[in-house]
Amino acid sequence: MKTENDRELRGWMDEWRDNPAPAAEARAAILRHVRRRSRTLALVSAGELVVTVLLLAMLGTLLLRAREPETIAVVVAGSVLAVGALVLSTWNRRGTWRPSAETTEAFLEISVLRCRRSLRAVRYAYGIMVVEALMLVPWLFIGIRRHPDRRPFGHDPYIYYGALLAIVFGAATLGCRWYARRVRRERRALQDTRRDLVS
Amino acid sequence: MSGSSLDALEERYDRILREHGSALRRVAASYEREPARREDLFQEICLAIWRALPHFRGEASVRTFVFRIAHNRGLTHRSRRSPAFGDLDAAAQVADPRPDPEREALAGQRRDRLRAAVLALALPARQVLTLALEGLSQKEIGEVLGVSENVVAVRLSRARATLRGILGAGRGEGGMAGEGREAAGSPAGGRTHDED
Repeated sequence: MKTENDRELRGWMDEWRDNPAPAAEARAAILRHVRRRSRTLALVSAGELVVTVLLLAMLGTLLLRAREPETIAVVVAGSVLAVGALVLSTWNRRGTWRPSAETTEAFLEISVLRCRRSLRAVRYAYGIMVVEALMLVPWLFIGIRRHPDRRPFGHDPYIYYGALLAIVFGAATLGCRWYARRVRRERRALQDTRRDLVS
Repeated sequence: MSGSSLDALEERYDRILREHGSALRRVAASYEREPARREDLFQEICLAIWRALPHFRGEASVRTFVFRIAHNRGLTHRSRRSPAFGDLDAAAQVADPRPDPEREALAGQRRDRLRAAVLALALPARQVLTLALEGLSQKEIGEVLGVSENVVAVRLSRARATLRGILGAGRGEGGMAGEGREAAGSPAGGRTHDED
């Protein structure tokens, strides 16, 4: 492309590039902003690990106080599930890190892969919720049968715990569905873009 | 990261912003017309460069590295954007049939018209054209997009023809009238942008 001999392109370039470079003050503001955002993103990335550690600490405390065998069993199973979920999540993200400096084609491929992995993570989340429900429902049932006189906040324990589980699992399911819908839309857009760019 | 390496990184980053900051704003403008979302995209691009910079080992030129990140962030922005936004207002801007003599008189009118016309191009055409307008060679454009020089040459040629048509139609009709239609009729880079 011989730009110097191409008056049309040269003219467009002059018009196109008619905006000033950011001043030193603006550059400093951008740097402050990206450093702040970087720290936030690092915290968010570490969030999963932090939540797992907090959960394990809480379960460990429960285990020390637990007397009933079903409680010990549910706490141990919960700890295994928490660690398993973290391992699964880390494994699910393999090969999708730092694609931003790749070529457009490679970037789109990794972005589509990321969407697929995110959808797989949603499926894992559903599976984990089912396992949690299978652990918690019998544990609650046994606990209620063992202590029939206990009435949480004056309510019938079956209704109270049933409603609590329904709200927590219902909210989690709705959240997963919303996220999956968003990821599917993004994947469709990325695939369309890839098709546009290849054709 | 030690204090001295962080200082070196910041210095490198500042140099990138000084040399390419205005170009990064234009890349953001080629993906997003709405000013607030365009500014968000620009900041996303700056953040992505900051995060990628420590891993940059000089396999490509700094310019290629920076434009790759900018266009990739643009694509992510485009794919995450609600389909109800963005494209329609860009198309409306280009296809606005009302002549506006006062706006015609403004100093930046030609630049705005060019930017609106570029924004109306289909993505493959828009990408090669914006990179060419930044002064990248066909080889460098190929390196940014991951396509061959031949593909770049073909896309660029079609993009220029479409852009010429859009700008010509705009002049001929006393405004930007018909530009969207002109773009839609062209074989490549022809569809009014972002129809997905």
